Amino acid sequence: MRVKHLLLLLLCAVCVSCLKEELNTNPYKTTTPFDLNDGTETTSLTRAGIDSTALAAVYNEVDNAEELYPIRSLLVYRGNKLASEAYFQDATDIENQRIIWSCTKQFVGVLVGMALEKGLIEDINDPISKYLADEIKEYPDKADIRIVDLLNMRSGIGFSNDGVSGNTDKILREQPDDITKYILSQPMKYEPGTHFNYNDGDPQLLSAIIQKAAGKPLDEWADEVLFRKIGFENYTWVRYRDNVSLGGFGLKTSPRELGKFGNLVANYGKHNDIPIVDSLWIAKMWEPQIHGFEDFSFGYQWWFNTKHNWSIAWGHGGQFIFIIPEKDLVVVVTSIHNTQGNHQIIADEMIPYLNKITSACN
Amino acid sequence: MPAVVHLYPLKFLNHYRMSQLALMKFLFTLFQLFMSGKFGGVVLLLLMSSYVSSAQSEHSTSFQHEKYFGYTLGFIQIKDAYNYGLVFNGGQPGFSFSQCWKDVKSLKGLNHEISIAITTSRRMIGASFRIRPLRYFNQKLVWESLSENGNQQKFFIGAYANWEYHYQLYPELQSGHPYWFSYLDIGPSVLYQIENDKHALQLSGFSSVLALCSRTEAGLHEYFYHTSFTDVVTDLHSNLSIGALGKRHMGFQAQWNKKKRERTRLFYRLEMYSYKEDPALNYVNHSIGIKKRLKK
Repeated sequence: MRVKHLLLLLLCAVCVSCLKEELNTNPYKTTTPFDLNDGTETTSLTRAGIDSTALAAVYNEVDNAEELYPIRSLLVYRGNKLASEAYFQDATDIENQRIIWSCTKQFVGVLVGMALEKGLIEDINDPISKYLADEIKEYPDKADIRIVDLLNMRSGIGFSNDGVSGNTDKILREQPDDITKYILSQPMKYEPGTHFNYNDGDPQLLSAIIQKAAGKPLDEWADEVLFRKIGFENYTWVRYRDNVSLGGFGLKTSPRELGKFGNLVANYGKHNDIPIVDSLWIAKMWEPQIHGFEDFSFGYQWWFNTKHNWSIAWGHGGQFIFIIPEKDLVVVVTSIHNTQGNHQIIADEMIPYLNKITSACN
Repeated sequence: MPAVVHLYPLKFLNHYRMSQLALMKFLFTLFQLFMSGKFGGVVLLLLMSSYVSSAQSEHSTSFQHEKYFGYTLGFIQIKDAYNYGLVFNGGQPGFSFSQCWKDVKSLKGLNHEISIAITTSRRMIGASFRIRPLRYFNQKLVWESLSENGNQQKFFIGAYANWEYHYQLYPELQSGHPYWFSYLDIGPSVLYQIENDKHALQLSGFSSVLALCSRTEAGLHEYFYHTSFTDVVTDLHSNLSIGALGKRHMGFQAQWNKKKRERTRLFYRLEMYSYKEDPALNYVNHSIGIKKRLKK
């Protein structure tokens, strides 16, 4: 009898002490957009021509899909207006600035076009030595790299994003004193313009080039020429300790701000019918140039889904802007940012849900 | 009805007045070391170990001294705000070495423990290391009875001091960034013991009243990070903070052995740690274990 009592006591102790998962601390209650007076224009699903039942089913599926648990937000814009939004883990994410990793590259892509338009960069076929003359003196083997090679990740520099032995890890730990020279000091692996190597070094050099040409860090210049004009305000663009804006990653912002940027690009550079970015540059930026990733291709710092004709901003962990011209849709997805391997959300996983969203649109 | 009952007033405090003064001085030295930054932990470990071992040697002649080697198999749960509310569960095998000094009216002990756990959450793998450089307890007999059926019961009250480090790694969730938390806690402890000629059972519990805790300053929402494996040694006390209610460590242990095989003891232990400040942490450890008294 005593043993039974003891076992019962132990069982109680085990049950009482069990911890419960609380992934959604403050989950969404509605998908109707809030009016925050943050420059985001909202609309109803009816006005947007979206089947509310079908869309609600998509939100439900995303919320309950086991493999999509890292997703934090899903926003659907139609005709530049926010038609629905949900913050699955924490409702305060509506305004929280979070890491968007490589979606920063897509901002850099747009800004290179603006630098070209404003004459900071003369031609994308210019060698980088024209803009980084002092640095290239130290690393002459990089003299033949062109700006266009950086835009489509074909610089040939042996920069690796991967693992603790990779170059990105060194930058994240702020080990090099000079981020530009650190990238240029890496050995050449290929001839410039011949091999695609998705990496954080090439867009970082683009940031350094614009900074040199503009005489101010890229984030400061971007604020003047782009962000203020589209009401993109809730963000932090991190600089390296040598005062160069990060280029391969570095932006922290909210899903709604991503929506503003996504809609600008979806409208070929126009904001409220005012041209901000050259529409020809946007078209060029999306042109598939690097193939070989099944249905995905890479342009000037932008991803493109060739099967569906979608342009995609894609950041590690599951940060996305999907531009779906066929239905005048922009879909923003953000996720837990530090997941690795199978636990990060990749664009392929989102395709079935995006197809359902497009089907819900008239 | 118990045949014999003795009640011992808490006179032992007078007996240990000098030791307490020494302890106060020692704690003040520790505090200064904590604040001195890097390698404070290592120095602390050496000092505390030397203090306790010298304290024990004073009484080693009058006390019965026992040494145990133990093996534990634990089940742990870690819910860390750094992990977005995910709960990591896992097995935690470990080893311990403990010593016990006892006489008729008191019980003192030291425990050192190390364990490693592989934890999972949603098919994500994590690792957790636990190092307890030292746990010290000192308990006095306050009540005992001998019943007619031969059951002898004893009740001890005392205090404990515990010192331990936990190190965590989540390669698939936190890009392999290391996290730690450490506890240096003190509080009351109690022990109830019942034995007859066949079995002996001990039930004990403790709860911290004051804890010095350290958590990684991870900067989870920043791009740059500067923690590394070596920080576990050098920066363990970098953000040490003191607390009572917001930093709790509680535990319960049931230990049983057959009188015929007195050297072998089985036990179940439940320990709970909580850290209420942001980033909050909850850690639960259920362990079953076996420990063997070493021959003299």
